[in-house]
Amino acid sequence: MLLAAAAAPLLGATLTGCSSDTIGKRLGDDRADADPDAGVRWRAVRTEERLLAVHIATVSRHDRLRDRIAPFAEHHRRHLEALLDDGPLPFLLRPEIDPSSADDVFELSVGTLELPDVASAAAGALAALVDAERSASEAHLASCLRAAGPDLAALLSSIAAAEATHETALERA
Amino acid sequence: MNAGTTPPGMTPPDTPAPDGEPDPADTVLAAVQAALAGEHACVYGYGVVGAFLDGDEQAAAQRALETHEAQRDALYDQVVALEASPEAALPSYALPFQVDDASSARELAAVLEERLAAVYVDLVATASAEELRSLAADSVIAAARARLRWTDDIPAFPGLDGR
Repeated sequence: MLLAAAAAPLLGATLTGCSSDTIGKRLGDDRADADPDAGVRWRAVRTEERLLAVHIATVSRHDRLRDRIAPFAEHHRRHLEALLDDGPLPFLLRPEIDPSSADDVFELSVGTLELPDVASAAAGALAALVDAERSASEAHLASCLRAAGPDLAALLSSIAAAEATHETALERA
Repeated sequence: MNAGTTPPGMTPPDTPAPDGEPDPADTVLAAVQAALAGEHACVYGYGVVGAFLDGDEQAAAQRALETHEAQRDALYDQVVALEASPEAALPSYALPFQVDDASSARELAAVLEERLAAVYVDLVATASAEELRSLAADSVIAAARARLRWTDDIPAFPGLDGR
């Protein structure tokens, strides 16, 4: 079969994270300080939260864009879940968005995050969304290069790729 | 030196690391070789894809083929830099399904890029050297974007979905 070797998971990179330690995940405790990736994970979580906030703000201003961008927003919800499941965050730092707190992704509470201003024209709002996806992809790529853990590095490269494709798809829209 | 003997302080190349884990250098090499094998297959596969397309799509397949040839050559150099023999291309490859029209050709192109993204995600995971990890991560993104040329379906986790 074409690419048979390529299709096989070579090294078991998965979305489930590299640590079997479940205590202290999500709501980091002081053991997170011992995790060399806690800071990298935190920056990735915050990047994803801000990107989700852009999507939420966009639909809040332009409801007619809801169906078009909902698949992308759902991806970001899953990205955030995967990052939060990967391991602990730095001491006292908490995520602002609980990705499982609402069925409708656009009804997720953004906590204390400030929703960005959205252009009054839908085309302008979409252009801003494209910029936000591009920036997030670049940030995740940079974090991927800093990650010590192989699974987190793999996850970040995949999220960066997803957001790069969002950028391309939204530009076509 | 007699077969089976090892100079003091040296580890035979195919001997596992002392704690039973594979030698990290061997793991990296295996991942680079897998990526190289994937690029060989893509070069072959895009030749098939292009044969069933025309116009702009055929030109896109040709550009993709050339991109994968360049990437293949870059990986070849990486393997040489690791002091190993690069994986050679196979004379031919069995396709994952019958390709006999433009629709199945587009589907093949999407499958090629999807599987290549998975190989490069594995390389990201194994490569700790910044240059190699950067090459691998850029390639995950490139494969995901290239796939979008052939299908509207966008996975949430390119290279990791379904694993």
